[in-house]
This record gives sequence, C-alpha cells and structure tokens, in this order.
Amino acid sequence: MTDFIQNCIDGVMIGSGYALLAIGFTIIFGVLRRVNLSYGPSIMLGAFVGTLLYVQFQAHAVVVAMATVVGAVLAGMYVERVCFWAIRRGAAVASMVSSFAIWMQLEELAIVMLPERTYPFPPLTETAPIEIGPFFLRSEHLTMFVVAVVLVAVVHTVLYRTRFGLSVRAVSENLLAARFMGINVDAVMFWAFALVSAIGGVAGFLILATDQQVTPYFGLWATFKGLIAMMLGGMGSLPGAILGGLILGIVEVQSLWYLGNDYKDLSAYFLLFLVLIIRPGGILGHALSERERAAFRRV
Amino acid sequence: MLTVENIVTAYGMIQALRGVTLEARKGEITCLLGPNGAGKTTLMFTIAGLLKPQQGTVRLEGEDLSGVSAAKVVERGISLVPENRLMFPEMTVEENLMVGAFVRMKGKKADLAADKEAVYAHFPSLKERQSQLAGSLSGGEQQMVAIGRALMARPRILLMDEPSLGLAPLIVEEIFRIVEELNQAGVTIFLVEQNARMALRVAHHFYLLEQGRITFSGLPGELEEEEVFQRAYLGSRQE
Repeated sequence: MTDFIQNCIDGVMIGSGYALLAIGFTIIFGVLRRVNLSYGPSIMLGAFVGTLLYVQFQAHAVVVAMATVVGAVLAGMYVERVCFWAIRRGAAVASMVSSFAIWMQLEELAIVMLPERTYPFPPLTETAPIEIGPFFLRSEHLTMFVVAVVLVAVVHTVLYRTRFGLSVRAVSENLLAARFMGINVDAVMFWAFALVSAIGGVAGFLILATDQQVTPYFGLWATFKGLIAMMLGGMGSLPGAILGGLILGIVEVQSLWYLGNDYKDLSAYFLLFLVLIIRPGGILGHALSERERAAFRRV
Repeated sequence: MLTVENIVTAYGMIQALRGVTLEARKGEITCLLGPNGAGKTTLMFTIAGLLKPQQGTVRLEGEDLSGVSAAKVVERGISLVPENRLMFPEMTVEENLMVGAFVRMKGKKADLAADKEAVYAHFPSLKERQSQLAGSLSGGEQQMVAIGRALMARPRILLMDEPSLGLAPLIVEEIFRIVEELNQAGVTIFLVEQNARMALRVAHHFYLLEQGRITFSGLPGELEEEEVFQRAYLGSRQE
C-alpha cells in the first residue's frame, strides 16, 4: 500500500509536467482548431539553446531556463507564421501536415546545432529527497509540481482576468463573432501561440532538468505525452488537460512499478483506448454526442 | 451617416454586389429588403470590413473605411448584430455582453457597468439570466443578447442582419419593438431583413436589393405593398 501511495505521489509530480504540455496543446486546439505537431519540437529547440549555453558557457540553471523559454517562444513564433498563419485559409489538415514537416525540420536543425545525440542539462536542485513518514518526495519533483501549479494559476488568471484572455476565449468559442466584436483574430492567434510556447518552455526545462539530459527526440516524447494527456482528459478542456496529465503520470509510475518498463508506455496507450471507447470526448470532454453538440453550437 | 457608393464585391468570379449605392441617415432606421441570395449579407460583411470590395467606397460620416480591417471598423463606430446571432455559447450572458465592449476596454478602466445596466434596462429578461450560458438560451433571448452585445461598443450606427430569422412571430414583434425603442433613444440603425412587413413598419427609408443591385429606394408606402413583398421574397418577375 505504501508503494501504491508513493507511486501516486510520484505520478502526480511527474504528471504535473505532462499537464503543462497538455495545456499547451489544448489552448492551441481551442484557439486555432488545429493540433500543432511542432509544439514538442519547438520546446526541444529551446532546450537545445539552453543546453548549448550550459555546455559552452557553464551557464547557471536559471539562465538555461530563460534561454529554453526564449528559444521555445521564438521557435513557436516561427511555426505559427509558417504553418498556421500562412495556411490559415486552407483546410485544417493542411496546417497539421505542415506542422509535422516543420517538426522534422526543427529536429534536423537541432542535430546540426549539436551533433551528439545526448547533451547534459543542469539539475534543478542538489538537495536530498524530503521524507514525510514512509514517503519520499524528490525535491526536483516537488519543484516541478510547485512551478506547474503556479503556471496553471497564471494561465487561469490570464484567460479569465485579462482583456487578452477574453479575446482568446472568444476566438475559441466563435471565430466569426469574435471578429465582429472588434477582436484582431490574427493577433490573438499569434500571441496565444507565444504564450503557449513560453509555458512549454518552462515545462520542458522542468522535465529535462529532472532527467538532466536532453536529446533531439525530446520533441517526439513531449508530443506523445501532451497529446495523450489532452485526449485522456478531454480535448478543448483546460481542467481536462490537467486531469489527463496527472492520470497519465500516475498510470505510468504505477505500471512501471508493478509491471516493469516494457509495459509502462503500453499501459498509457491502453488507458487512452479505453477512455476513448467509453467516452470519446475524454474524461472531462463533452458528454454530448457530436450531433447534440452541433445543435448546441448552432448559435 | 453611412454612405455606400458603387460597391462591387465578388466571390472569385461571382459578383455578389454589382454596384450598390445607398445611404443610412443619422437617427433613422434604414431597411434593406431583398430575396435570398440578393447579396444582403455580402453587403453587411463588406461594410463590416470582413470582405474587401473590388470597387466602391464605404464612408462613415465622411470617413473613408476602405481597407479598414474588421477589428478597426468596430472601433470606428460600426457594430454588427450578425445573422444567426453568433453567440459565444459557453460564456454567460454577462460575459457575452462584456466581449461586446472589447474595443472600449483598452487603457484606462472603462465604465462598462453603466452600459451593462442600460442593456438590462432594455432587456429585463436578460438580467434574470445574466449567469446563464448563452448557448442554452432561446432564439429570442439570444437575439436580445446579440443586440445588447453590439450596443456595448457604443456604436455610431447599428447594423442588424435579419434579426427576425428563425424566431416565432410574437418574438419577432418584440424584437422590432425594441428596434423602434432603440431608435427613439437615438441609435441609428441599418436593418437588413426578409420580413418585409415588420421591417416596413419601422423603417424611415428602405431599399430593395435584387441580384446584387439596388432596384428601389424610397419611403415605406411609396411602393405597392404587394409589389414590395413579392420583390422582397421572390425577386421581380423576369421580363
């Protein structure tokens, strides 16, 4: 039982990182109605800028963090202009395929930048794990969790208490109506992308600093985790993204402990299939069928 | 107040508006009637800045609005109550109204509370429902939200695209009563409608749009009612 609870604790901590990635995918899906397959890779590119500073200049962890965020934001802006703004009048699929191509491009760029396959990442903290009764809390995990909570609070504040956040929500709910309200939809999409990239940069830094290494395939990894968490929790729902991330984290840690490394990813996919069969919208996604939803939205 | 001169708007090679000229005078209710496909919504979208005309100008109290983006058009003082209402379904009534005031939220704290109360004064049933999700409202209530939302921007002129569409007759009467009320309070209104009977009851001046051209301009009563209805719903008899 102790193990089970310990795994839950670890799972929640790790899952908070997944939740941040899922939030990024969710906001972009809500605002642009498209899935950005370059999200993970743009974070990875930011991380590579960070590791470059670390390896070449022995930069402090905070500097690496800032570089990761800035790099991710710049990469994100590039992706937005090239994949999404440039193809905004095209079919949604065109943008998504384009973002897949850019993913490849970013991965190649990272390999050119730093040809070795693995690079070190500065550790988050050097402190020993914290003991609470029979349970251990790794301090890196705790740091990641706390920062994730703060970031979620920031996102919520931005979305519900700022003019910009209002425009993001309006564009997500009814694009045409948002235009008629005087909202510059192109600008909203661009800055939403920047915000989401910044969140991704922080999430990426936290995750990589916990692992203390980065590879060019971090983009692929982050995309999987973020998309699975988003689909588990419910596409288009921010609480869903958080819930999906936490559940994914817990399921992974539990299956790693009880079933071994081979079954860790398999369990996650199995859970996803199960959820999508029982409740296609995801756990917190819409309970209504597609037709009922269409009627609700025909407003 | 709003003058449209020789507007030609095309979708690719299809000309939806073939040289439309009309005027909405300040303080009046001006109506545009016409059958389906005549180009009424195309004209509204052109005035609102969503579509760029191939030719012609749109002027608001003398200011040329050519090339002005949709967002800026709202800032200049034109608010559109769109066809089919276009609610933000998962926002409450109150939040929908707030989005309406988006262009006024820049910089210093705008006094939106007063505008909100003014909207509720026009639409008391909305006040009861202010925390209800807009997607769950009836058609008539949504229409009221759409009108109130447009008013929150304090426009110089209110454009209304088929406000009676899909609404029950009793509700349609209420909507038009509200249109008159707003006009009497000083709002200039440019109204596009298929419901010729109700529109002519409130209009100070009306136009007929058929196949992208203005075919009549005048006062209600100048044209035989029968002829108006026929041309508004069906278009002129082909010669």
